Amino acid sequence: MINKAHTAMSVIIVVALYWLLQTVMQKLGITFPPPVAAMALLFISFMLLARVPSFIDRAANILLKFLPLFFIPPAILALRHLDIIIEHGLWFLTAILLSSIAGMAATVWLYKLFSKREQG
Amino acid sequence: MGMIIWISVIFILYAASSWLYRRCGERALLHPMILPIVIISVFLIYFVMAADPLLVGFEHDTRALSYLLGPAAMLLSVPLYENRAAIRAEPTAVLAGLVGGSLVSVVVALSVIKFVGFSPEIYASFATRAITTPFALVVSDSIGGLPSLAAAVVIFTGLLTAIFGPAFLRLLKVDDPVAGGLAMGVNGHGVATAETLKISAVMAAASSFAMALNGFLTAIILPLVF
Repeated sequence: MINKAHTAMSVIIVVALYWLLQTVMQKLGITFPPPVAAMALLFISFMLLARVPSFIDRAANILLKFLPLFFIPPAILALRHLDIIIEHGLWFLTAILLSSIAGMAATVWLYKLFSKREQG
Repeated sequence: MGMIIWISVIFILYAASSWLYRRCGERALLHPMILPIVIISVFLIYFVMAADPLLVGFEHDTRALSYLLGPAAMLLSVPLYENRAAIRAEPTAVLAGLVGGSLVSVVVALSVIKFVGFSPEIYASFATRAITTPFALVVSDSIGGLPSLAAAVVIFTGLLTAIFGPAFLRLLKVDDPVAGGLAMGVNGHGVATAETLKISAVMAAASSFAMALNGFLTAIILPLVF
């Protein structure tokens, strides 16, 4: 019970921190995506502290476990463009499939190529 | 009231879908995101045809759930920090894979869209296909794309990568978790990164790093190009 309360509190603190950063960025007129800035700032904080604070670790355990769940509403909102999707869906699928295959293969090929060079 | 109903429906369908996924030996085609998306979309299509405001209501009522994407994406810095040594081991190879893979995927997607001759809004919506949803929503809007279409492109790319990516990596005989993680993160962003969390911590760290740096660079470069 205490653990669940700690986890819930950790999630609330993390969400509040994110909201604070987002609000400050808005007030300052910074158009950069807040999640990227938040991720970079948090990573720098961990480097400075040389550890991950326990409340952030607890929040990460729960929020990352449910990460796919948070993508469901924006995926469903694609229905807004149902007419475009019905008309051009096959081309969209072709673009997504071809670019995915090419992108993954290129990533792996380039990594292996430079990895061999780095290892001499 | 609508918020409680919609979020409960999504939670229940997701829980049922996750149970089914585990029960069937975690078969890729039964990814827990698929069932809730299909069932709710079919329901909404049936009603949206008659009443468009239902979709506006759905967006409003599920805003709290969508909002958590931002804090969750921010927390991917945890596996990234914990496994930073694996990424720092071969920095040139990591950067080459990340930048090259991202460029190739965007160029191929945009070539298909250009070849078909779609409108500039659709073209701009596909330009953000290599970055995760919370980033894509912001960037696509700033370059004249359709944010909800861009988000859908990103999520379905991520879903396809989460489903078929691990098998494709096996086909390419990739056994290095850093290489596999980079490929999953560059191509499949947050959804595929969530999948790598189930496979290995190093793979998840590489995927988070790829997703973050790719998002960072794309967010800077795209508005300058468009």
